[in-house]
Amino acid sequence: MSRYQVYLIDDDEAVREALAFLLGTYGISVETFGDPQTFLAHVDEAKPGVLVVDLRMPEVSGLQLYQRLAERGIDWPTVMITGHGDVAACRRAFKAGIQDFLTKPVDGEVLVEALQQGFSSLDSRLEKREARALLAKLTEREREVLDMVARGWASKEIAASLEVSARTIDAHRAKIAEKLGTSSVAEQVRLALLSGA
Amino acid sequence: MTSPLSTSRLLGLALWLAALLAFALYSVETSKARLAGELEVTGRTLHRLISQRAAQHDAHMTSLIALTSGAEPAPLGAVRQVMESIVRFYPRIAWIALVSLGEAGGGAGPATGGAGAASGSGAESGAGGMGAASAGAADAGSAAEAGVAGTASGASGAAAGAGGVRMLVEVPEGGGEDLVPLRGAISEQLRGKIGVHASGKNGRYLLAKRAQAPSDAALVFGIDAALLLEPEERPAWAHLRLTLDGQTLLDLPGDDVLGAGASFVQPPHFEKVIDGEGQRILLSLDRALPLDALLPLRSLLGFAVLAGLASFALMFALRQRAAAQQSQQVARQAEARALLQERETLLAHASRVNAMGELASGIAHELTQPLTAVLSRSQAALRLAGAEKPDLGMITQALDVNVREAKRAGEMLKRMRDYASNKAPEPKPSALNGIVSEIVALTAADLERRGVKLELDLAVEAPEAVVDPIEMEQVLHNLIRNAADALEAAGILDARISIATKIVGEDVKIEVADNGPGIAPDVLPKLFVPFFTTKADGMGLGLSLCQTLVERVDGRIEAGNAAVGGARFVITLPRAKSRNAEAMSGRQDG
Repeated sequence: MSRYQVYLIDDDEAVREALAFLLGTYGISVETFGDPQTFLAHVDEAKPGVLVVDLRMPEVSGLQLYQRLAERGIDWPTVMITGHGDVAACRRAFKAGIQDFLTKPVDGEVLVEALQQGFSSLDSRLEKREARALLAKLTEREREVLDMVARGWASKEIAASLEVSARTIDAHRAKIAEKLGTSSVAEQVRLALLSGA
Repeated sequence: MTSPLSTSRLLGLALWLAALLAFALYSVETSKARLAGELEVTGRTLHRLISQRAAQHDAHMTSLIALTSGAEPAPLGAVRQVMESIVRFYPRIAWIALVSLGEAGGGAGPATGGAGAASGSGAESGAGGMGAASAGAADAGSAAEAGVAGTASGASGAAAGAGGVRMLVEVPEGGGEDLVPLRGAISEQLRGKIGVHASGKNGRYLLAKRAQAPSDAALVFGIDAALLLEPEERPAWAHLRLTLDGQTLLDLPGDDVLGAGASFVQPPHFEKVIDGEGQRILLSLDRALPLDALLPLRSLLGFAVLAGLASFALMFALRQRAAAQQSQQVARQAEARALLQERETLLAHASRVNAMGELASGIAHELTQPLTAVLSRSQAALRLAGAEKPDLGMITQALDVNVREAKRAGEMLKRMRDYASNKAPEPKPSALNGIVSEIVALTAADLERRGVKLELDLAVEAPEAVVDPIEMEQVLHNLIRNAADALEAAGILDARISIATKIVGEDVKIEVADNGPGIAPDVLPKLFVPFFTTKADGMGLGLSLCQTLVERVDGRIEAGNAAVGGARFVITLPRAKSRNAEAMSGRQDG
């Protein structure tokens, strides 16, 4: 089973069923929706996944759906599938930050590959989001100290630079370890870099 | 139809009349010239004849005079013999006399006058007189003068002169003329010359010639003018006259000159003085020109018939030509119509192909859906089949669905092929509901994409009409596309197009309506005019083509605005009453 859910939004029932069936054989769990509105009504931020969206749908197009999700802070990787390779539509989609753009009929391998990349992308996005959330807990002083730690400075050097005692610095570092949930300097540095990216 | 023919008939009549008139004028002119020429020739001939005869008279007189003068005394017996033979041979010389003009005594006029009066029977003693004549020849001049004086002096003078003419020889006897009044005139004649004198008898004139001096004898011929010409020499058609000093000698009006001549032409006239006899006899010929001579009825009638025939032939030819032109025109029109229909068919095809382009995106989308499903499910089935424990149930199910999807794609392709095909239109009884469904299937994707809802209200009785289904689909497609364009341009939120089929009496109707802004009043009358368009990129041929295609199958198309707003097009077609099922299955299998 895949780490993430795949949300398939297409107005054609046969296409929905067939793609879900195919992805099922890859062990990818697929949830299907007949139109964007239904998906928008059901979408749960707590259940991140990769979207497979038909570009051309009545009322709300695939691109519009992507933009509405972005407005709600949902930036899950999206693979756009379309009946015809309209270059203009393709460019617009990539500008908007779409993960991939595939034309129907979609080859299973290609789709699965695009989904795998989507999963990785989703992984890193989630990590970054997590890192930012952790770093957001630090005070300004703690953030300053963490930056110096990330540069490889020892506590004494940091204390000298900030014109405080080394003990004060140690207290900050203990607070940082507590807030980030790890005493590993390497892990702390990774989080700092992730959030800064 | 009738007007060109009656025109040609009038033309023929006018031509005929003109030809007839021209012929009449020509005929009159030539007849006149011919008749005048004839008269002239005849006149000259007659003149020559008469002149020749006059010359004969001259010769006879000369020879007789010579005979009388040849001996002394004159051989009167021989003279008489010659005279008799002349008269016998020449009937026109009616009378010949040898007279003595002189008076032997040479006495005074009144005396001779008295003697003359007494000599009523003086001719009997001719021989004696002859001698006296010879004796008194010397005095003849004065005696003649006295005679003339006597004649001139009045009635009594004439009686007195009688005695001055003594008959010597006369043939025939007693056919005589009273020469007494002429004595003076004859005496005045130059010797050797012939004088012409009037006769006391009708139709006769006298020729007189004096003997050589010193004789006082004179020879007198009485010429019967009527016999100057043989009867067969006289022209029956002319009025012939011989006059002497204006006195008529001969007047032959001609036999067959009936009635008056035509008043509008100058009748020909010929006159000439007869030569050789003192030039006092005038021959004149006149010819009346009756209309029928100028314009012979038979030739006129003949010409009229010929001209009539010619006119008729001309008219016939004109009519034939007009008919030929007309049939040629009809043929050309038919050809033009055929060409037009061919072009319209091509245009319809081009328009469909063009519309195909517009539909392509929708259709491609429509077609890729089943393809996508088939591909995906096939790949899934392959994966299942490649598993350690293949789930045959799942695979079979997947393949079943695949077959269904592939068929769906095939149907869509068939619709496209039919629609874009350039088949000649083939009107046949067709179910209108089926046609509407087909075009709806073709346009649904496009309309969906453009956010236009399609509402169908199809009659349950399944109306049918004799149409070419593809062409009717094209008409509907045009109407649907126009409606969608109008709705899109107007930015209607709840855009709807409704299509309804219904049966109204003997007709079937297809209505295509939308809830757009409707058709502007100034646009409405020009809607079906070719190349009229309200679209920036339109050709203006769509509705014109629709009309052509609908009218081709005896239908009509009307545009208007619905009471509730929006444009409404109604196609009315004659209802076909055939078996629905057959037409339906025919449409679907074909």
